[in-house]
Amino acid sequence: MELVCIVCPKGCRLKVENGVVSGNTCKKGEAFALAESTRPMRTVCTTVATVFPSMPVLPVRTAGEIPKDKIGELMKLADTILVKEKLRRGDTVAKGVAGTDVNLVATASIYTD
Amino acid sequence: MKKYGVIVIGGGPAGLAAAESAKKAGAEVVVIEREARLGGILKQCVHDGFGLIRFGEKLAGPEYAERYIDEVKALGIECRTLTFVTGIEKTQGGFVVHCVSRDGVVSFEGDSIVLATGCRERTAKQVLIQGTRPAGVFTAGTAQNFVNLMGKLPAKKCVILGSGDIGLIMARRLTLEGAEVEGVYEVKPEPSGLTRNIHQCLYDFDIPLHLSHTVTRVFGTDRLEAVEVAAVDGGMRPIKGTERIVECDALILSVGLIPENELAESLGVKINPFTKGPDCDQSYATSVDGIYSAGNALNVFDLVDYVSECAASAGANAARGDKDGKCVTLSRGAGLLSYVPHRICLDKPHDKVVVFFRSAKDMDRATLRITVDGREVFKKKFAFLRPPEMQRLEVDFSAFGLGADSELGISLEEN
Repeated sequence: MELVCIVCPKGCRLKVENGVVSGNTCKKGEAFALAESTRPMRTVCTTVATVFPSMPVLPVRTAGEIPKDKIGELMKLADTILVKEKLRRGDTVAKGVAGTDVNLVATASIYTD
Repeated sequence: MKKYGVIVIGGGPAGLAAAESAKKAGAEVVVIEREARLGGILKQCVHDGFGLIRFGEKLAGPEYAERYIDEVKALGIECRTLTFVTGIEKTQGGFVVHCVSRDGVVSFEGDSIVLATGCRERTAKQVLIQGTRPAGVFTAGTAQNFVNLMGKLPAKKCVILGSGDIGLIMARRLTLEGAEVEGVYEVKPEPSGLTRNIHQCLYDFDIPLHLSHTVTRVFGTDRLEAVEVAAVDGGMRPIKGTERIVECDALILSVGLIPENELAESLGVKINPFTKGPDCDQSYATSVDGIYSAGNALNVFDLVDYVSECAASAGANAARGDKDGKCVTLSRGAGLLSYVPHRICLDKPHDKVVVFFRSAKDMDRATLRITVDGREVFKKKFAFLRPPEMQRLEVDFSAFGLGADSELGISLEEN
């Protein structure tokens, strides 16, 4: 399998043959290629609604990677969230999303004038 | 009037990094920002991938910006938001920056200025799309503002023209939010965004990428109803008979970024024809003494980490305020699309000069060479280079025995 590494902007061209990775220039690239050839994982970034007019949506991301095939489930969950507290960057917005033990965290602090 | 050491214009990633380093270098600093919040375009870049170099972490845009905002606040740097610069006046001892703000007309006096005004997106008017003028034709950044700041979905089914990074990021973002992205059309035979974005934004979501294709017409009266797409030949001219109509309610343009330098030009700052930003030396000083340029206003970067690095250097140098001295022009040889700096000032430190460059075309195995009077003084090999992927290297120009009349050149050769 041939693929392009998405871990960093370098974009190394990787090859996986019988579980052996080549073309990578770092350990992270090797781990990415192995995961990609078994169960691809992604960090997902999106927004959730808030009650604050000065910031109608709050940017969030998964604190770690979740399986790629769970992205749809995560997006459905994000649609149901309404933030009512003045959350700060790094605060947990939802725990253990999409059947994983990964939390959804705020990537910005709620801004009010 | 209170006098500042450094006035930073723009409160985005470049302005914040410049302000932080100028303050740490001992200058009295003020940041002027036209929006209500600091952070610039990063506020709406909710995707991750920022900060890998600067922090060793994969952060979302707002997270990266807030780390700098926190630092700027901790240093007690004065930040004037909702303040718009209307003009800059050169005086005997420095500059006066005239602004409008909620308090009315205000002015700031300073010794040096860092222009951190960012860049603008090329619009539909600049790519000459024919047809009616319906609503629904947006730049990728506008669509990003709608979705990520306002929480509004501006399209049900869209076509993306151009394969710049923001367009690719928006293809994924709109898909995640439930819109249909019919395809991304790129007039050139190669994509113009980062390879990783082609993969993680398009291929992950089965969004087709049509290279050597463009949008030739738009249809619709009030709202966009359809676009016509066509294949193009080697000269980027549409090929007759390949036209196809795609029904859609939005056309999103990701067709390039241009450094914003209206203020720089008003001061007579020389603009480089290749970066479209100011000509600068290794301290990011422009052709006008006391005016520095940083971030995407200087040169459109692909990574915010490099924006911060360049701006931090510009801020510290602006605080020091070294006058321009003997300079050697770094002449553009073959193989390069653009690079900074454009000249080396011999009276300023030049032993650890950061050079950023882009190749003119895709190259497998290339060598970058720096020559003095035709003699090679530096070379570095690269496994592969693509124009969308900017390279960074450090060069010790003090080791080359440069004099004011030396001929200094930089070039790139495929081998």
